[in-house]
Amino acid sequence: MNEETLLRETLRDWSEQARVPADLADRALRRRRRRRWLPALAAVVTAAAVVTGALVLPGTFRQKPAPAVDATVTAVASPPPSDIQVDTDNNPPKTFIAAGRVAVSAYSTLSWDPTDRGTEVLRYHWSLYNPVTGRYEQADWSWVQVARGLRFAAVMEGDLPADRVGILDMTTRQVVRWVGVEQGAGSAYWSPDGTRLLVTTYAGPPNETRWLDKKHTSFQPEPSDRTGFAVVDASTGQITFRPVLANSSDPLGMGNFGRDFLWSEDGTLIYEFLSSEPGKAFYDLQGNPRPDPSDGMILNQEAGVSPNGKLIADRGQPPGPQTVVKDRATGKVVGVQPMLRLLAWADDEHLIALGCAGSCQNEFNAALVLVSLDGKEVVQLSTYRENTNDPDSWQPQLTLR
Amino acid sequence: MDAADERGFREFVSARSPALMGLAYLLTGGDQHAAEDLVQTSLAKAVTRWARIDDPEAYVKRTMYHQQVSTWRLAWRRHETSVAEPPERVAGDHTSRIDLRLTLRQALSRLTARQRAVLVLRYFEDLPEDEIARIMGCSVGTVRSTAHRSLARLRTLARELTPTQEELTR
Repeated sequence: MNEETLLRETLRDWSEQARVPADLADRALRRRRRRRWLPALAAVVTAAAVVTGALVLPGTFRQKPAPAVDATVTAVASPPPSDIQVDTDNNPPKTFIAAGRVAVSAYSTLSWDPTDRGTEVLRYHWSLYNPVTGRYEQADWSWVQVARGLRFAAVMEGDLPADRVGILDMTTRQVVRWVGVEQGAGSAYWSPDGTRLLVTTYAGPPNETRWLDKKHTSFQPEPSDRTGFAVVDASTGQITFRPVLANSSDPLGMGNFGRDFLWSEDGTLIYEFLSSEPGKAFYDLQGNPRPDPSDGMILNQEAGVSPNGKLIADRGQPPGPQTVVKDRATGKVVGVQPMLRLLAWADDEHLIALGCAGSCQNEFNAALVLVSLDGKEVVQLSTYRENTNDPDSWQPQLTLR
Repeated sequence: MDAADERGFREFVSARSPALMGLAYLLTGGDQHAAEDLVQTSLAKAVTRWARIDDPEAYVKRTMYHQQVSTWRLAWRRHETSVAEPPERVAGDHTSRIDLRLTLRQALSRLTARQRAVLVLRYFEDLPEDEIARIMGCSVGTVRSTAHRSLARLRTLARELTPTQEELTR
């Protein structure tokens, strides 16, 4: 094949990767109507910039200053693709894996690195999706969390806690904003709408643990170094820190292990896991304790509630492997799947799950699969990992695209 | 814009959106969000003079080229020059066709907007050189020399980006 043909084919294939928003005409018409206000608006923006000291950011950020990581806007305006992309040849994967509205945006492996204190600290090793090449690429970041829309990722560098969190443009691979976290950032999670980051702050290495055996099955609880949390507005970089005592809700304590704060499903509250019932403690964004918003709903599968809000993923009957999907209103089982875990909803009728190999003689020999509600259609998305419990085995990060 | 014009505009967008988005996607080097912005901005310009435009598709495409090249020139200069140089690599002997295309995509995304636009106009839109010159507002000679330099740069980048056999099998 000659160079010209290859170039033509490449351009044609690449152009077909573009998603076509359904509302382009509406957007253009709205934009024209807004233009009438532009001179007045420009004056206001200029004045504000003088007062606050505007930051120079790439055009994409400047054009839509409202929700910083405007992946949210696009995720709503542009329907996510319904295609399925698999990599069943490479372990770990090399090329993009996605199904419906969900993609493997990154994956990580873990290692426990010894300290001179007789403890070990957890280290993540990341590979991050590159939208330009369609491949996963190894990255030096010590923390990666991709925002919905796959346009930006929160990243940290070096040993954790880190003194700043970066917002990485997935396409250019450049950090477009650094946000200083003087209290020390141990984790950073995007809010469900992709506009804010929840940073858990630590005075020492997060997850530092004194293991009692080589297989890392039992540990001696260490006092936690967690100091609180901070919420970052991704569009402005404004950060608000709230101190929260590490053991305020969990006096017996999980030690220093797994103490990160996470967003509630609707992004109005945050929570942490507890070592005993009720299992989770919720707080508002000022750090005040709040009741569990799930109202008795059992959320024991990562997939949670379906996009239309009508169905909920649940565990099935032992011995398994079995998962079920229930009608959220009546509790009636609407589908049974021979899966280990339900991880995410690809659409209202399909889920991304962890499926066992063969007759499931080894529950840790599992692959990512797409499964229908009735469990009858199964599409393998990734290779089977021989031992999903092994730290060396890659762990996918699933993100809405 | 009256109701009939608006209906005509909507019909045009509905029919031509895939082509416009595909083109914008290439011009922006595979950036979905920038491509949407580019199409949206160009369509908004077309709306303001819809009744006077003879060939809407040609008008919108021309606006997209100009918009992208000038946006790049002004605001994305830093982005353009801050891409780290890829490490030197030796080309693999058995590089597959898919790998080649992925490598080419990566190389295309590293060209300047103008270099990429010339190649897109020539090899994706299949336009003759005089038409490309008209759209880009330059001479046919400039189109030829830009295309030549763009291809040369593409070859260099592709060679640098081609994974070694070891990397391909890792």
